Parts: sequence; structure tokens; C-alpha cells
Amino acid sequence: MQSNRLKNHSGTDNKTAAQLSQIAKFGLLLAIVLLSMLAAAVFCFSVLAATPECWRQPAEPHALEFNGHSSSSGPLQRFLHHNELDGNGQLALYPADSTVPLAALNAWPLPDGMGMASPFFASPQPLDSDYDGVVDQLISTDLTGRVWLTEVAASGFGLTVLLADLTHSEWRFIASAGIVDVSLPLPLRAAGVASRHKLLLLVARNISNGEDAIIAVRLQAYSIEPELIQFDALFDRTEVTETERVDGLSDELWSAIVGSSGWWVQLAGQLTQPPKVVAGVIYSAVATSDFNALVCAEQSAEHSLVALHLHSAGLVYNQRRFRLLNGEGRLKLQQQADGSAALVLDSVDGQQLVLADLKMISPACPDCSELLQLDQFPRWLKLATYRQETGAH
Amino acid sequence: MRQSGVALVSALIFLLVMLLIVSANLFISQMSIKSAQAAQRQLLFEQRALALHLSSLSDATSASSEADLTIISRCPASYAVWSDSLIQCDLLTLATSLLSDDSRYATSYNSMLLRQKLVAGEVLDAE
Repeated sequence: MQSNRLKNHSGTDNKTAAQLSQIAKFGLLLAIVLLSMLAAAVFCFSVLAATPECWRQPAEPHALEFNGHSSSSGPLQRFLHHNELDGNGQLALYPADSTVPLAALNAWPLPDGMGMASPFFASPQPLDSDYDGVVDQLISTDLTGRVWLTEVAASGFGLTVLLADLTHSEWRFIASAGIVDVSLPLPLRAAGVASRHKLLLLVARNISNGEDAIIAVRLQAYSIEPELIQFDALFDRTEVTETERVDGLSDELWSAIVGSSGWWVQLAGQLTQPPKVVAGVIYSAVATSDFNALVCAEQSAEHSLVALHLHSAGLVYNQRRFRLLNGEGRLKLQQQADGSAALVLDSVDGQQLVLADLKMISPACPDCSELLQLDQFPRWLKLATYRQETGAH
Repeated sequence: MRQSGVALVSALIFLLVMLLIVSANLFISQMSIKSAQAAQRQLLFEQRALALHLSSLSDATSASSEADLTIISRCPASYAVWSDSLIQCDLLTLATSLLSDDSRYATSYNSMLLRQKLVAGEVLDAE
């Protein structure tokens, strides 16, 4: 009897020990889950903390014109907002006379299925793919560098395709500097690359030091299933070698750059105004001091102007960087008395000359350029002349 | 007497037939000249129509009329590209037609012209 009780007692002990060990196992699992959630929260917080409010430009709505329901009704106006919904990026289309959105786009194709986009710091770029004068596509880039092409009409959003995933642990994509249609002349075409393509210009900011980079992504126009472009596929053009500086851009290097998915250049500074593309040259005003990952540069910082070749990020002038006396005012073109162009800083105090005798890129060779003449505008180009026969007999 | 009357009528009929043949020949030969000249005339007419079209083109490009221009939202692809905010492209479709004096020929020529213009306010004048 006594021995049975002892046995029962020891059996209960064994059960309790097994339960305890199970609880310990679950507790361990629970702790791991909790810790990972905490780590995720800390990571999210660090990502958010790394994007101070000054990185974001005001998200102003775009007024877009779309094809009307019938040809007689004329174009319809819609407003495109790039909002943020619960920390995720969202595009919404509003009618001109209502605060209720017509359509919203929340789910985006990602490399591994549908998902959410990061907030859109860069405003989406409208496109008119068939040149009929109205918008039919949008290129959107989220903060982490994913680029989508979305069909859009007055009634709402259509098919969305992921064109590029430029996700990089160091860079956040904070602005778009426009999208341009490029046609390369025959001698400058690279093998296997369509001569006509779109070049998407983006501004990325480094989360650890606050420096900016200009990123140009080549989007092939007529590809049915585009290959996903990744950051590693972009050509790093931050440094210009001494050989390139002295002898010019070689044909091999040109082919390698034009044949790649794009290029990127670290600016060693922070952009203070949107870059402008003038006759194939990108001009950017850059603050080179008084900023870090949390604080944006102000007018009192040191400033310089960076000039890059649109297609190769190479040299157009004998140097890439020119000193600016201050960061006040906007960069504007100025027509000189002899018809040539100059770049000035236009502020309330007046105009300050930054760079005279601006150049335009020339298709004669990879780094050829010629003097830009503004007095040739307005410029007429004859596209076609054809004879029409009616009632011939 | 009767025989001489028959001979006279026969001679008259023969003369009439000959007259018809000669006049038909004359008519046919004139037609052939006309048809020989037709191609040349048409060529000259085409040249006149093209000259008129080209002079209208130069008038259109020098005039500042905005009436016939179709504004397109983007400029076509090129090598030395400009930002959309700096340059604006308009498309002009110009058609001229010419009708010959005798209304036998009609020819029309069409042209598509692209005007690239710097956006007002983006380019300052030298002080």
C-alpha cells in the first residue's frame, strides 16, 4: 500500500516535471517570439528615426488630365495624392470636385507576391505613353526603392508591374528628379540595348551620413516582361578616374554604362533643390556641409554645383563640381546677349552667375559637347511631309 | 445623164469619207499631243503644289500664330534631353491643297512639324 502511494507520488512528480519542462520550452519559444517582435519594432523605429521630417517634400497632389468617357466630352481632370496609410504607401485618385477618392491603390506587386509599399516620399511621375496628350501611366518609387509602372485612367488604376527593386540597406529614395525619353544615335548604341528608352532620375539619401546620390534607372520601353532591375546592376560612377579625366570616356566604358541598367553617383553632399536636365546635362545644387543623417543642410552651409552627363554621368566640363558662393535662390537659365546660356542663382537680392557658356551634349562621340545657344529657340523640326491624293484619275 | 449623176454622187461620197478620215486623223493626233503633255503638266502641277506647301511651311514657322498648334504633353525622345519643366513641345499639322485651273488635277501635301519652346519664366534675360 505504502509502496503504491510512493509510486503514485513519484508518478505525479514525473508528470509535474514533464509539464514544467513543456512550459519551459513554450516559455523559451514565447521569449524568442517576443524578442523577435521587439527587434522588428526597434528596426522599424530605427528606419523611421532615420528618415527625419526634413527628408520629405510636401506631398502636393498632382492635377492630371485623362481621356473623357466620350471623344466629345473632352479631357477629365483628376487629382493624384500619394498618401500614407498606417505607415504604408498609397496612391489615391480624386475627382476635381470631391473629397471622396475614386480609387486607391494599396496592394503592390513585390518580388515575392503582393504586399504593401513603403511611404512615397518621391511624387509619382505621370507618363503619356502614346503621345495623345493625356496621362495613361504612372511611375511610382517608394522610400525603399521599389519602382512600379501602373496603368491609370480617369476611372481608376489598372495593371501594376514591378520594374525595379533598388532596395539597399544604406539608401532611402526620397525624391524623383523626373523621367526623360532618350533616343541614342546609331554610333553610340550599345549592343543588346534598345536605342529608345526612358531614364528615371531618382534622389536617394544615405541613412548613416545624410549624403545624397543621383540614381538613373534605364527603363526599356517595349519590353513585355521586363527583367527586375536591382541596385547591384547599376553602374557606380561616383569616382571619375584620372584616365577618363585626361583622355575622355573610352568607347568600352561608354558601352558598359549604356548597356547597364543605369548608373548612380554619390554627391558628397545634400541636394538643396531638384536637379535640372539642360540639353543632356544634369545640374544639381548640393550643400557640402552642416548636415548629417538627422539634420538637413540649410542655406548657410557651403554649396557647390554638380554637372553630370545624362547618359554616362561623366564629365561635360573639365570638372564635375563648381563652387557656389551661397545657397540662396533657385538655379535658373539665363540667355546671354550673344545667345549663349548661363546658369544663375536667382534670389530676391538679384542674380548671381554660377556657370557661363553652358554646353549641350553632342552625339558625335561619347563625351563630345558643343556650346548651347538659347537663341535657336523656338526651334522647329520637320518630322514628315507626305502627299495626299484624293480623286485621282 | 443619169450615169454622170451617179458618178458625181459617188465622188461626193468619196470626198466626204476622205474628209472624215482626215479630220479623224487630225483629232487623234491632237489627242496624242495632249496625252503626251499630260504627264509633264501634272509634274509641273505637283511641283507648284509642293512649292506652295513649302512656302506655307516657312510662313507657319516664322509666324507666331498659336491657332493650329496641337500641344503634346511630352517631347519626343532625343539625345540631348531637357527636363519637362524647362521645355515644351507643340505639334503642328499643316495641310495645303491645290486645284488646277481646269479642275482636272488636285494635289494636297501634309506636314508634321514639332516646335520646341523654352517654358516662359524658366529662362531669364541677361540684365
